[in-house]
Amino acid sequence: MSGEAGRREDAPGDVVLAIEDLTVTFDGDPVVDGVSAVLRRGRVLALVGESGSGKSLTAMSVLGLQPGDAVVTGAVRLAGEDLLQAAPARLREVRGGAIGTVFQEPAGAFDPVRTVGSRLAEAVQAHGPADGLPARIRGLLASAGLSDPDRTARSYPHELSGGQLQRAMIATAVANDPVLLIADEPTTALDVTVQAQILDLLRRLRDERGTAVLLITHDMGVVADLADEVVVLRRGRVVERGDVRAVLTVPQHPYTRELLASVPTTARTPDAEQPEEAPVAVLRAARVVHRRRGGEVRALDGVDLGIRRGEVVGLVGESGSGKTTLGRVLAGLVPLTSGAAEVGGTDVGAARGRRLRAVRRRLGVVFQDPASSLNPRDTVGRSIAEPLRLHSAARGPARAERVRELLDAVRLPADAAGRYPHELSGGQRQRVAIARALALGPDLLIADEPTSALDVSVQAAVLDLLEDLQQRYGFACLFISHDLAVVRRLAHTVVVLRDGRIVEHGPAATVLTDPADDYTRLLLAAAPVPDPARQAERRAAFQRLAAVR
Amino acid sequence: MIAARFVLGRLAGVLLVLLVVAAATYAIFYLLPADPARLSCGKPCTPENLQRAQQFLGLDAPWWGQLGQYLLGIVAGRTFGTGGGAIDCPAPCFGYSFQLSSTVTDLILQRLPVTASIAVGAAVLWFVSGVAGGTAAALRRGRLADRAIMTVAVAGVSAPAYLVGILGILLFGFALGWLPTGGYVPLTEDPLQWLLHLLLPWAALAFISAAVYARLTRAELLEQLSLDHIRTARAIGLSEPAVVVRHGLRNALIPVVTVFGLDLGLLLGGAVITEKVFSMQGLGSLLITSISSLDLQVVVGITQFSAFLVTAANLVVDLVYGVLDPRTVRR
Repeated sequence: MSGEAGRREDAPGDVVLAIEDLTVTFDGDPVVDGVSAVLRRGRVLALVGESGSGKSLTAMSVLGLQPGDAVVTGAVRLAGEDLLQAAPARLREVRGGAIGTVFQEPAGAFDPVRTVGSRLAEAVQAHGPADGLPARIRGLLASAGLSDPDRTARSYPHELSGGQLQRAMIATAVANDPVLLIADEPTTALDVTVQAQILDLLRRLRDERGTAVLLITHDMGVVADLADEVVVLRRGRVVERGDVRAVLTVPQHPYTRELLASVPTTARTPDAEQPEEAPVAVLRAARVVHRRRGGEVRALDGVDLGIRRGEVVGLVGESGSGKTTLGRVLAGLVPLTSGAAEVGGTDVGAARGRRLRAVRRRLGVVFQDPASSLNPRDTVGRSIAEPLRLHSAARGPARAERVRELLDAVRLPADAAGRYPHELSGGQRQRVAIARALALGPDLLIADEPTSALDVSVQAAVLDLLEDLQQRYGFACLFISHDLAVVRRLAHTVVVLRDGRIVEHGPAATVLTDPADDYTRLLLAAAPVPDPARQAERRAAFQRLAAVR
Repeated sequence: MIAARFVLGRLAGVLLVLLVVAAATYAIFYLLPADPARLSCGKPCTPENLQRAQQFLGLDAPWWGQLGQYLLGIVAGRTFGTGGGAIDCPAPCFGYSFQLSSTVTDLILQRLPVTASIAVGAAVLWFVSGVAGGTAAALRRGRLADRAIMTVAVAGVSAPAYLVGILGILLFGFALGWLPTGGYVPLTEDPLQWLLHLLLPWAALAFISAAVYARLTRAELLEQLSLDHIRTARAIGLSEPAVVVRHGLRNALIPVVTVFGLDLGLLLGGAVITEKVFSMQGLGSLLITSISSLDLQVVVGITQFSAFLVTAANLVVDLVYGVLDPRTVRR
């Protein structure tokens, strides 16, 4: 068994894994370049960086799971043994044995046609005799905080929530009592309140079992919450390392400072100057009910909302709260079961044909993932011109001129018009999507998590751009996000949605600093901040609030 | 409980499809200008003889009455004519061929072993070899084995069955003399000769489909193996065969099995050509003869029977689907 590599009687602080001068190259290009790090028993080491920094590749190389065309050099020593030199059979022993792994996207991490319990069974059976397997599975799931372990074990992945699946993945990862847990963006796909619980679970593993944790994340708040030490990666190189308090409060390297500055945490909120005019978009007692076998789901349950010209309404809520449905209702994509939805005085639900097209002219929509919302086979110019082609008389040079204007407005060079989406970065693609949404000079912009798929520094730039455009053109904006810090940055008014109902609605400054509702308080406390000391206080506050509920 | 409902639902669907097919084939063939009564009344055909033939065949009833009699005959059997000359057709009665003086059911049952031997063997052969070839190609992606398998697959996709059959006869039958060039020996008579006589027909019929399945399996398996849950399975420490078979191939087979269900429906058509090339007396050759001699009862009977086979095969595929992807059952 792999257990020799870190016995339980090891003292805290003993080295569990040493990464020495790890370099991973593709076709001679180093993507990870001389990374060294030491993981100790009972400690959490965070590997921080933006996409492309090589942080995930570093972790996968530890397990020998890097892509086939990668060349790995250096050493990865698990209790002295270099895993890079280990035979495949030995590596399989280590994977899921001495080293457990938790991945980012829990929904995709399970085989869709097998039960969660069968995944746990496999994990146990791959590493030795499986005596009393059902009881062990139950115990593992229960210890990961799943309240009904029997039901969870019988369930297929699509029958469980993201949080439940992530707990089950952690249960799988620790099935064979690993000395090291690799957690690759373990909470990125989760809601803030669920994230807080998962981070708690990881903390408990560290404290109770003495498991060393290699935490890979781009979120400085998560780092502040869980990590003991930090290694900052940029383009495959370590730019800064040290104790979490030191790195997050007095960062030495300019890149670390830049990363921290990009995190939208400033208490600054936009000025709430609200011209008293009729709202551009209105929802009245809006209800959307989906009928399912065995009952109905109320995606929206009696929502009243008005968005004025020049106003940014931040719509906050967890997955399943109905925030995306609300945006889709205003865009005329989801019909209301009852109530009314109006944009510019036209009933969106009742509009058909030409009237619906007229309503859509006045709308711009930006979605979360620019990679999939732009047609990969259309040039950027064509994508931006599409609404012009459909809705305006502008042709030929006039249309090309408008495309140039729009590219300029979103701060992209004019020659971007001839390029294809895959030739652009994520941030540039999102700028294209924004330009397309603004092509017709809309009265209302609906932005559904427009920055969630972006790195923090890119996210900051896109938020700046949105703010600037909004002030320049003065459109009304429904800004949907699960990230309170992002909403704080942009919104005049904040609406908190839960189970299809508005639980709180008011000026951003009030709602985000002095919330009236317990749920808002919980959401606020759950969002981590990149300062270890303050984050410890917030965590305590969250745990108090969560205990009351 | 849920599974039982799944199966019952599918069964009800099968019955409905069969009913519709029965009505449709009956309508097409009996509303044709070719009058079965006139065909069987002999020459010269006096009006009295014609009327007698119509009565005998039940053609004097309105169309819905005829259809009803036909459907009832499938379930309960029927009798053509009355008195001493009456012909009894026990259930399941798919009609009576006056040209061949036999019930359609008997005709089908006589020919069925030949066609079933060809079709089932070929289907098993193409499914197994296609999936195996596709899997091997996917696992050696970009290497020599992959290219070799895919080259054969391209050739297979582009070659018509009769051509492969004739080339096979020329090479293995005449030039090498390893295999018989045609004919059929019943399994019960001589299992070895049965197998030898069927090898070439199987290969000829399976070649095209095996090629399609190899390409499909390769593409699906590569897609599956790139998914996150495969990476997780490796990170748990599962062996490579377990990862590929348990988590990759099983998911990759779902669309392959769907296509298999559809292809089974085309199998009879393929068997017709194969029987012709290898001079075997199966359902296909019976169908061709009866179409050219306008023996409508036989044509309708075979159509109905093959519809039954296709729906039955698809029922099995649906059930296999439920096993491969339990989500289709638990919804």
